[in-house]
Amino acid sequence: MFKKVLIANRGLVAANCVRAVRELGAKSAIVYETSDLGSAAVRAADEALEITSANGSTAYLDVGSVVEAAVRCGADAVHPGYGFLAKSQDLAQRLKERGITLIASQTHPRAKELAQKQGLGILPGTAVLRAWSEVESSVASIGFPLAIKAQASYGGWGARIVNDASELKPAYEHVCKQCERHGVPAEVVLDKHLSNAHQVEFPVLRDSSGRVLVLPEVETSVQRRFQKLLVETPSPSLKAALRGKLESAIPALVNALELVGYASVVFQVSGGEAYFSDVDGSIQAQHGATGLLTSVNIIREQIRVASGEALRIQAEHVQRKGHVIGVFIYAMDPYNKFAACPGRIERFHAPSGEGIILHSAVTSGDIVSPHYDPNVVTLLAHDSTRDEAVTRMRLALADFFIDGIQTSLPIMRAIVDSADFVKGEIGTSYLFSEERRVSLLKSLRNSEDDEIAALVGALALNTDANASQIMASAQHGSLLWAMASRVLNRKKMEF
Amino acid sequence: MKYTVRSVEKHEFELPRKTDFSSEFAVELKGKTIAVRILETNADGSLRLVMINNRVIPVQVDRRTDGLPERVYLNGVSYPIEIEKVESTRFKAPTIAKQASGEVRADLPGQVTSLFVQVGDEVEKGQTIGILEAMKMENEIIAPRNGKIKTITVGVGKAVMRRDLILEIG
Repeated sequence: MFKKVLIANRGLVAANCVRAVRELGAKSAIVYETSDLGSAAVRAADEALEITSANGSTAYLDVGSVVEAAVRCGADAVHPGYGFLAKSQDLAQRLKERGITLIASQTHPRAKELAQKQGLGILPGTAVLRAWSEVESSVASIGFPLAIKAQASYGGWGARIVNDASELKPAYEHVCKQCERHGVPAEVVLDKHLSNAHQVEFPVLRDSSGRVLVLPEVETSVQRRFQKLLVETPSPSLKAALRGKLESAIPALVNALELVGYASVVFQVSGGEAYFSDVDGSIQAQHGATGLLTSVNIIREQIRVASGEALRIQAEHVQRKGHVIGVFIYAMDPYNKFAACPGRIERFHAPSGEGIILHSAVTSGDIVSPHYDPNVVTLLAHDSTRDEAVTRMRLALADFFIDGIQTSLPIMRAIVDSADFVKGEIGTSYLFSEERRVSLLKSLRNSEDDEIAALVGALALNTDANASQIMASAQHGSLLWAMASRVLNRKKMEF
Repeated sequence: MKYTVRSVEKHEFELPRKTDFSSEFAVELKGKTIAVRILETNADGSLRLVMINNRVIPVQVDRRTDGLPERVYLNGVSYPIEIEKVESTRFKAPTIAKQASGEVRADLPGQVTSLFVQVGDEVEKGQTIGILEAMKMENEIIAPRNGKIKTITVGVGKAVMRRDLILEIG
């Protein structure tokens, strides 16, 4: 086991990594930018090192700062978490030169080719492209619609769907600009895009001796602009025969890729066929869902394998207990076209109890920074069957109240309530349209609450807060002004 | 006092003639009686937690610049609010509310990555006129009112701080 692991990330994913390192008995160190100084992950780590950025963008993307911090604190491994530098070959290389292990698998340049050799279906696509001329000339072999993705993309940025030739150059330039903002090279991959497919991912662990463990698949179709909103395991849509075929092909694939550690093998499933899409070597946001279902702690096993330990868990011993649903809550306002809502959390009333797990690095009074991603918490619901897990999640979400910032809670409640979700039929394009957003939000309203809202609105007119504001702007002597005046002067009134 | 309030539907009801609502009171609505208690208010006096017919509900009320409530959240679910009448006096929104400012400012620090309009273009309230990239998301810049694009202060590719003026609608 490593002696000391430096976590090069922040927020919830960093808090989970710090916990895993400490549970393994190793020392934990973490890098932080000033605004994260009081955060849960930084408080939990044994050691905290401040980093600053050389250029304008965030220090969490500054390879030099992270490497220097690792050397400075004497870490023998760095866990990059999810996003930021998790896919950085530059970071992997510079750490390797100093004898420090990066706990993340890098993208294999021939993954698609090797997948095809294993008999897996693949979508037409390119290898990594570095220039517009390469992009332009690759399109003919792929066709539209296609997805253009930055190599370093994750969690929603750096990916665009292109529906026809006229959209291609603007989309490419946009993705390149995003790469520049994130301080990563403008390297993209093009793939045929299947509209409204089901996205299914298999978590896989493999050690240096070639022992492979394939864990139950996770359905990750409920997305918005490539940002995962809800996951569940096992998948409600994957047919048994197809599952069997994929599960038996994956070990040979990861052996051919010489994967050491953890990866998520991603498929797009459409029309009864599964198409290999990606091998993502960074820890995925849904690791907690797999952990609840199987009792396998993916981050811990990933760290063990990276330190050279043998994978001791065998597939036969992995239990699948019931069904897990995981919801990611973001600081964005579904009522305002999902606009980002950074700010200070006021009330934070999270559900808890039987079968409910909250992954949160924030609580009331904490600030959601405008400089990082909008992920706030992950809520997991676990029960014996899918129907029961859906009910459990529906009730848990209805009990979850956050204010001070707007969050995606309302739209998540509407999705979990929807007939499409209950039937397990949601595909990757479900949240594509404005119409869908509006109709989902409308579905949360009912006529009884409509009356109550009207009542609360009228009641609000009679509060001090309203009255002061009204008196400041209403015409002197008007009815509104008179009402407000009565409210503010009530102590002086006689009955 | 009689109120006519439109949320999604129109409702008429009567609140007791008093100004101190800190104890339980009854409201008549559509022939039924509703028991109401204000349980908690925020520091500024705005409503925070209410009890309606024995049901506890966290609330949030958004107000227009003139102080009239325009949105109520019941346990996070949003309802539009329009106070149409108090007693027999009708309130018409345009005569009471100041028209929304034509200044379009950045809600949070980020980068303007797209502008879909030019100076002179006509826009409608609610129309998406650009993209502000922040928090790893593309946030839509939305026109606050109808009008014509008067000036564009920040061009595509420029970084903005919170409250920076991006453009003006005249």
